Amino acid sequence: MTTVQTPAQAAPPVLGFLPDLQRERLVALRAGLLSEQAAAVSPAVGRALEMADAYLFLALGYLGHTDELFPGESGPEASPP
Amino acid sequence: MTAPEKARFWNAPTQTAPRETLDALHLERIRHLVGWAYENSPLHRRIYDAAGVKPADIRTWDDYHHKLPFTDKPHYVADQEASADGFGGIARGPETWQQYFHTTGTTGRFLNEAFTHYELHKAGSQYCYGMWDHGIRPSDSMYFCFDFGMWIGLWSFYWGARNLGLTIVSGGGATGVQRVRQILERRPTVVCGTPTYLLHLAEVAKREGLDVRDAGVRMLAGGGEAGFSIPATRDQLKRAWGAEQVYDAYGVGEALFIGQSCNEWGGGVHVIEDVCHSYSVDPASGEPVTSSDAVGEHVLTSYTHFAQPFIKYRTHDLVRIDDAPDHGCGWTWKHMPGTVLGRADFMVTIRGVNVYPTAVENLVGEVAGLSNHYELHISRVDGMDRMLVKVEAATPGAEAADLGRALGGHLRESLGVRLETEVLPSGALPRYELKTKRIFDSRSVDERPTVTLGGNL
Ligand SMILES: [Zn+2]
Repeated sequence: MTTVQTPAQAAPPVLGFLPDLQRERLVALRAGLLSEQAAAVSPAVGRALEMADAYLFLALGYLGHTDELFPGESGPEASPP
Repeated sequence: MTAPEKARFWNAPTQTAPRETLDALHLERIRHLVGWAYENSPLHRRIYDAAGVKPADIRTWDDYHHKLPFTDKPHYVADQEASADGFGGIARGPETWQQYFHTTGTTGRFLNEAFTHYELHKAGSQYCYGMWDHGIRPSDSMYFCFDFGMWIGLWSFYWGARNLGLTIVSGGGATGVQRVRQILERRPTVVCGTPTYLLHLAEVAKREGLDVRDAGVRMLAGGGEAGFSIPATRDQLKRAWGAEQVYDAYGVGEALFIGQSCNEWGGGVHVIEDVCHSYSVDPASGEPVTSSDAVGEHVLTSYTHFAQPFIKYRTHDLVRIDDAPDHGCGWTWKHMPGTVLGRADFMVTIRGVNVYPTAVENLVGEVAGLSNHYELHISRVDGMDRMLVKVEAATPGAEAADLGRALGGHLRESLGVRLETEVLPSGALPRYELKTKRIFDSRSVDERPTVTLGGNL
């Protein structure tokens, strides 16, 4: 746990110390995942990471993440049909 | 068990959070969702523009309750009929869809529904809170008494089983006898079906000289009709299967099973507040119902469905909502005692008394000598609502007149009004594998209860 940098109380507390801390860590993890997805060297890797993001996003939802509604909201998929 | 398996709650951080915390999360999500839908769903933009509302106007609960318009199934159906691809209220393109379905129901038109991969998983997560509370763990298994078709309710149970990590056993394409044999062989922890069908399977087993109680099934689950909320049917199911638990879930076709029972079973279901916001309104004025004793129409906003958003959406279900339940389960999420008390459109007024079909369903189950099959026929004669309760004797050769008197008396004592009754011979009413049709309302649209929501629609 000592390697994780928590943003210095920038965000107001949401669900309590431990859940908030885990949410912050998962947001950072997701940023890494999305950059790997963007750099995927094959459709196979890209799609696998896209699915991984869906599962990761479930965890974020459980922890009170409200910045995005669903995975892909801020990405190219979110453009109007 | 590993440490996570011993955890009391599926997701304690939200499931036991104080009301103020939950409401703050809801408001944040709703505001975000309204803005997103305005930009991405042509239907929502039209509805909000017509009401003169911009997303920035929705900042407080008062704004949500009073400025934001309700949405309703006819909006989506009209949009669906006008669209080239046959879907209404769409906010994300078909390239993102993983599967589509249509709603079923006893009234109205089919609504086509589209879900992305994430949305199906999120919908499946709804089941985990209640199942976990009942002690179901990833090492358990679930048997499905269904052919997998277009009805989304079943599929969402399947996604729930995947989400929790259960072993899935499909009873698709099998006859009743084959299903009984599969269940006896596989010994699943949970059997999923409609209440009527699960009782039917127990009868099928008996005819074959088998006993489903030998399968050691711990829990019966499913939906599609009211039986899992009705105490008499719950008891009958437990006896027929030797099951310890009957799982109650409340589904809205457009947002799936957003209500789930806890292990304490406080007589209804908890709203799964991680996946939706839920409140009720006075059907006449559209004002929020504030008392937990008062019945109102259930209105919801889904955080599961974005390909097709549902925001401040009318369910037409009549519910009571207790936002501070204390039946000992530890959940802080809203509770709906009695689950669905009726459909706003099916409410019947007899000599000034409002009668909800679900109340009648409960009472039918309390009369000895009747089977668990019944039909309610609602009509309007000379400007007056009438309800005919058709029931079935449990055994051949039973005395219909005596049963009719017992039922009529019990209904009159409990409801304060007299309903017409008709007792049919054992086995006379139809059996259904999927959603059982029990309510037949022959009143015209004009004759049904007026639901105006204060004109805010
Ligand atoms: Zn409870």
